[in-house]
Order: sequence, then C-alpha cells, then structure tokens
Amino acid sequence: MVNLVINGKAPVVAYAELIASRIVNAAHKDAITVEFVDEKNAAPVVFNGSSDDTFAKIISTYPDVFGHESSEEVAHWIKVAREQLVVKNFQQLSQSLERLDAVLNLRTFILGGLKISAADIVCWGALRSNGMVGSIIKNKVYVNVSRWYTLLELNPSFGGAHEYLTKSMQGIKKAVTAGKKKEGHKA
Amino acid sequence: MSELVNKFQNLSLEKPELSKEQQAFAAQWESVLKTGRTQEQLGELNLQLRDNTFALATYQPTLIDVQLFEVVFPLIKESIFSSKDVKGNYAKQRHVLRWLDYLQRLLQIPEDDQLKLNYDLELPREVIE
Repeated sequence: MVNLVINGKAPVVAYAELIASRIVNAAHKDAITVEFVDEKNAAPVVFNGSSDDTFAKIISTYPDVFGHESSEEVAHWIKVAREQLVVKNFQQLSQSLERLDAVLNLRTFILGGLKISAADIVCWGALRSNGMVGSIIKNKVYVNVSRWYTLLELNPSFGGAHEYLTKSMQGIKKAVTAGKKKEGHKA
Repeated sequence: MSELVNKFQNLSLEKPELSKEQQAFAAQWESVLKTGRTQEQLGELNLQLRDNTFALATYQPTLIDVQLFEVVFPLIKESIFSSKDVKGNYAKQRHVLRWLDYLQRLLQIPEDDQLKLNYDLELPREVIE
C-alpha cells in the first residue's frame, strides 16, 4: 500500500505532495493513502517511509498521470520551488516571482504545454504554503503569476487542498481530545 | 459550422457550467463577434486574457474562445509580420499571444500556418497602475 504522511504543523506544509496525491487518487481511486500528523518536529512529509525527494518520487511512481516530461526541467522547477518560492524574505521572494512572471508571459503553464505538469504542481504548492504570497496574488503584483495561480486554483485537487488539510487536522485534534477523555474516565 | 469549431467539438472537452460573471463575459464577447467589432476590441480582449487564462474565465477553453480565435488569429499574425518593433508589439498584446498560441496548438493548426512565438523574448514586466 502506498502511503503519504503530511505534517500539518510543519513550517512549510507539503502542499505539492498533497496535491499530487489528490491528482493520483482522482485518476486511480485510493491509490495513495493520505494521513496527517500534528507534530511540530516531525518531517514535513513522508512518502512510503522516506522523507527524501518525496515530490519527485510521487511523480515518477505515476508516469501515466504526470506524463513523461523532461525530468531535467521538472527537477529544475522542484529546486526553484524548494529554494526560492517558500522564502519569506520579501525582497528575495519578489525576485523569484518576477522570474516566474517572465516565464508565464507567453506560456499558459510553466513548461509551455497544454496541460498542468509536475512543474506547475510543485511551484503552486510552494506558493500556497507561503503566507507572504496570498496578498501578492490577489493584488496582481505579478499579473501572469496571478492568472496562472488562479487557473490552477479552479482545479479541485489544488483549490480544495487547503480545506482538506484543515478538516483532517481538526479530525486529529478531536480524536486526541476524545482519547484523552476516555483515558481520564478509565482512571 | 467552421472546420475549427468542428475540430474543437471533436476534442469533447468538458463543458463548464457558467457562473453569472462568466455568462456576462459570454454575452459581451458574443456581441463583439456578432457586430464584427473584434479588431477594435483587441485591447479589451488582451486585458481579459491578462487576468484570465481563457476568454470566459473558465478552467478550459470554450466555444467562444474558438470563435474569437478564428477572427483574431489572422489579425495578430498580420500585425506580427508587419511590425518593426517586435518587442513592443509582443509586450503590448502578450496575453492575446499566449492565448492564441495555446489555441493554435490545441486546434492543431498546421505547422506552416502557425504563429511562431519567441517564448523567451525578454519583455518588460507589466505593472498594473
């Protein structure tokens, strides 16, 4: 059984992995079991027991879903997402968004194809996890980034990811509280 | 029915249910098409495609995108061919160009008829005042 564990309390929540797994599960019913943990110090994301290269691993496990695009290009965007798009320093983030904006001048999706690719997922996920980004998107500071971001948000696998995470995290809290009460009762 | 509309319908993309706002966009562009004012509305179309990937702000292109494409494609091709200031021309209508390029590939316009874009031409960042 393939499983993915997302830490909802991680400083950078692994939205890209969460969205990728939602896309996989939309194509193959329940192919990936998604679980959540509520622990500050746990790894942000674990895929099949490993916390390394999780996004790349999910993508390469399902080539029928994510296509066979040049893995070099995807690797480049994974790096950009991980190193630049989660940054909270306003000046650095602005420069990264300006570069992404230039890529999207004449492209609807990041790799220039007709469909969402792994590069779009990993960048969108990184931006979704970054608290600095919401108002920048809303205010259309980088018009192309805003247009691209808004389009992907219309896809339920993207747009519904945050609500799914929040609800699942509430579920964990309730379960924990219920467990505590039970123990108290026993004692 | 034109050949392109036919082709588009054969792609059998999911037809989105239009929201109130999207219905208003549809009415606006249908009227532009009907009254033949597409050329004078190119700036407006570019603006619409700045904020939305497709003309009606839908997730996928609709029939109206294809109908607009049929009229706009030859106009833009002409303007690109005859323009001396390539960069300025690109910058001014970059969103229409992006959208045209998406549709020309989606509709599989023959290679020779396609508008060849220089995707990495450095354009000044567009800033909304």
